[in-house]
Amino acid sequence: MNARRIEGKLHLQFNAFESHFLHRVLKVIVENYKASPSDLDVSTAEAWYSTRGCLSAKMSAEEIEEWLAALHQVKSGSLRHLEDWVAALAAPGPSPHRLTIDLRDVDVLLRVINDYRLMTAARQQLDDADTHRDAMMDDPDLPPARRAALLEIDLLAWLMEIILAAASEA
Amino acid sequence: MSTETIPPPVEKPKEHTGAEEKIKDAFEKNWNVIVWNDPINLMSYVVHVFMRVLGFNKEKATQHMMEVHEQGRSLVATETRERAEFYHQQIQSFGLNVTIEQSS
Repeated sequence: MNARRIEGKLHLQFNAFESHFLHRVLKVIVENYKASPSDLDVSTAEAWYSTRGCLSAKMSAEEIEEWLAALHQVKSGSLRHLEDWVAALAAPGPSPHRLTIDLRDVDVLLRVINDYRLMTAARQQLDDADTHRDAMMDDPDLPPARRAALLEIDLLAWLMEIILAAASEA
Repeated sequence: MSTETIPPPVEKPKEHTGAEEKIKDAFEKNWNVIVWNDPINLMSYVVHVFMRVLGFNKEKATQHMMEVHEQGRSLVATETRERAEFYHQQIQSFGLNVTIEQSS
């Protein structure tokens, strides 16, 4: 993958594997952003819609409900972009696959990729020690599902670093 | 004529009405916004979020990110309740662990 910032836009270029992987990530996120917080699996809901801060702010039940609805609106508000990007990445054609996004939408893409990482980690209950494991190495103590989760999280971290670096170029 | 002295008027204890509390909350910058460490969010991403949401320059954002990383938490702002709630929601929408609490 590489990314270049040109005149208010970020031009991303992927090989077939990266494109396929990001396409799948975005599709999963679209499904989950469409669901209301109460319809998500418990671990994803806790990762995305934690009410810890609401409780420390001593919000009432009604205020928490409003707060959750507003947070859900932020996520679902990016669905139009996400669906456009899913369609762009699904378009047939030879490598490299390209995706061009406005710089003002970079935060949407970063948020989405990060939400997938948070969801994956929460579903596999990965902790600090797990994230320091090298998922590329054979580790008999690492079950395949956790290993796959760590690989996805690491690969998306790499994508995020490239996007962040390109977006902050002068 | 009575020589009894008139007792001084008893001062009624001051009642804090809901309205007073709301006015106090609206103007007093006594709400702390705290960001907590977690094993997933990237350091560079946390810096980016601090710059975006809190308007920090890169140096200040990096300082707070390192505080989160090394000490487990960082107090990133002390604001009015309304502003703190705004930061709370914005920062959480980026996936960071954040709480707000009234300072003593």
